[in-house]
Amino acid sequence: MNPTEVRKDFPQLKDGHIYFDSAATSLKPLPVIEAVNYYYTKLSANVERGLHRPSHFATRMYEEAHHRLLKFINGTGEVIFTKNCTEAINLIAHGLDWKEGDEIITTFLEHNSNLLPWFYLRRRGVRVTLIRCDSEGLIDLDELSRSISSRTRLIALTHASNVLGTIQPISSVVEIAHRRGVKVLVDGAQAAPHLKLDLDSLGCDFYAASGHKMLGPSGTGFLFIRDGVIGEVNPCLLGGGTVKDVDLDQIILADGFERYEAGTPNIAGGIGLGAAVDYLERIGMENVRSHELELTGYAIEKLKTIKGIRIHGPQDPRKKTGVVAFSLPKIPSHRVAIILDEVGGIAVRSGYHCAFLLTRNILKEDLGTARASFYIYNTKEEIDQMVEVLEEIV
Amino acid sequence: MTDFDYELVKVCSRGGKEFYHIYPRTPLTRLPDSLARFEIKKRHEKYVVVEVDGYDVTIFTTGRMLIENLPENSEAKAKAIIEKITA
Repeated sequence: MNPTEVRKDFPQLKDGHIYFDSAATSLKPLPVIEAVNYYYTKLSANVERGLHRPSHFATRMYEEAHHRLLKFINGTGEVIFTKNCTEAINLIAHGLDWKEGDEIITTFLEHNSNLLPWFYLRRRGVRVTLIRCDSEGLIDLDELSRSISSRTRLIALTHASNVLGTIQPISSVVEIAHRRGVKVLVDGAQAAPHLKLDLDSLGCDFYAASGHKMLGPSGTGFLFIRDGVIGEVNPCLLGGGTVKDVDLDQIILADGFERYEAGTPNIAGGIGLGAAVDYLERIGMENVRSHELELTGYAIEKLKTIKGIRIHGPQDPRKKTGVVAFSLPKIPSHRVAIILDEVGGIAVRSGYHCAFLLTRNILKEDLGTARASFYIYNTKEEIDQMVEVLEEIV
Repeated sequence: MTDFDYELVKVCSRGGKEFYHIYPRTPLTRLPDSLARFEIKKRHEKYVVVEVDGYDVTIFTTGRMLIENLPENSEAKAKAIIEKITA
């Protein structure tokens, strides 16, 4: 993979700014922008409900996007398009039939999107157990195993931390859970854009991710539900497109993704997400990973040279995705971020990153952390520029 | 009242602390003259960090600012600090 060539596909980079905030949302390459534009200029029509040609071709593109994504993640099941990863997780939180006393296990690492939906279920008598992680952000499988009770129904955890990047041992979690009859939901928002996924190998029951973090348009995400489990998930919204038949006294729900995509979907977004998947496949996820390993390792080594810096999470890039969170001594992360932007034209995220429990209880960083997150369009030279500005700050 | 025209954005409110981001509608070209009245904690070609009423404020030559660690519900205080800086 040649980042210089890749960068030509990203119009936003032409103004010279440095974008290290892909963990929040990625930039969009021209083929994705063109796919969205093509839909709006050539095929603007509703899907799954028209005989005219624009509707026919838009439907074909929208459905193909589902198939391409399913192939991309290599899962046997259904893929449902959502507006983001948060919505995908909420579909499960509100779609399963919970009973009072049911238990959910999650972790201190989670983003609010994989924490608040479960906390909210406490109102219905569901118990939520949180397991801790070590200072590198790795969960303890023994603690996880000990936390499972006869009432545990679901383990919901991140594939990779949005703050530390730490990659969790999902296959082992699934093995432990399934042995005890517990289902597993994986928040893949920070993994799907960066790792080659093989959901059949991982074995999880549900996998949620953001399309907009993997080069897709804003307002896109997806939920994978494994075959054999789909019948256990009730749709949260019903309406046009979700049923096969309706009579006075019964409705027969549609099979597949249509059951969960009520009303007119984000058609342009879905088609754009399909184009994003094609783009990533052309590059090759092994190449994406290899590029990020190199950048992350380089960034950690360069950042280490800054006096007093605290780099959070694993120092071995092989244990993480392309995310590096750091703190400068007694300097609030928001100050670091605004100086990087104003002085260096460098975009990083600052604060708690919607991971309050991790930032406060594990990292103990009341001033938050600054987070640089890398993707296919970033370079070592950009990291050098960031380090130069940081050195001036301290 | 100064003629400094800006957007005031509360960045976050966490653990009882608020940060305010001040974005000038018309960028300035240099730091305000009033800065001599404040304790300068850090000086850089493109910004300074000063202490105003006990709060750290990062001020850029463009007029952009960050006011740090105010207590909750401090919008009026943030505006008063901006007024002092730009007077």
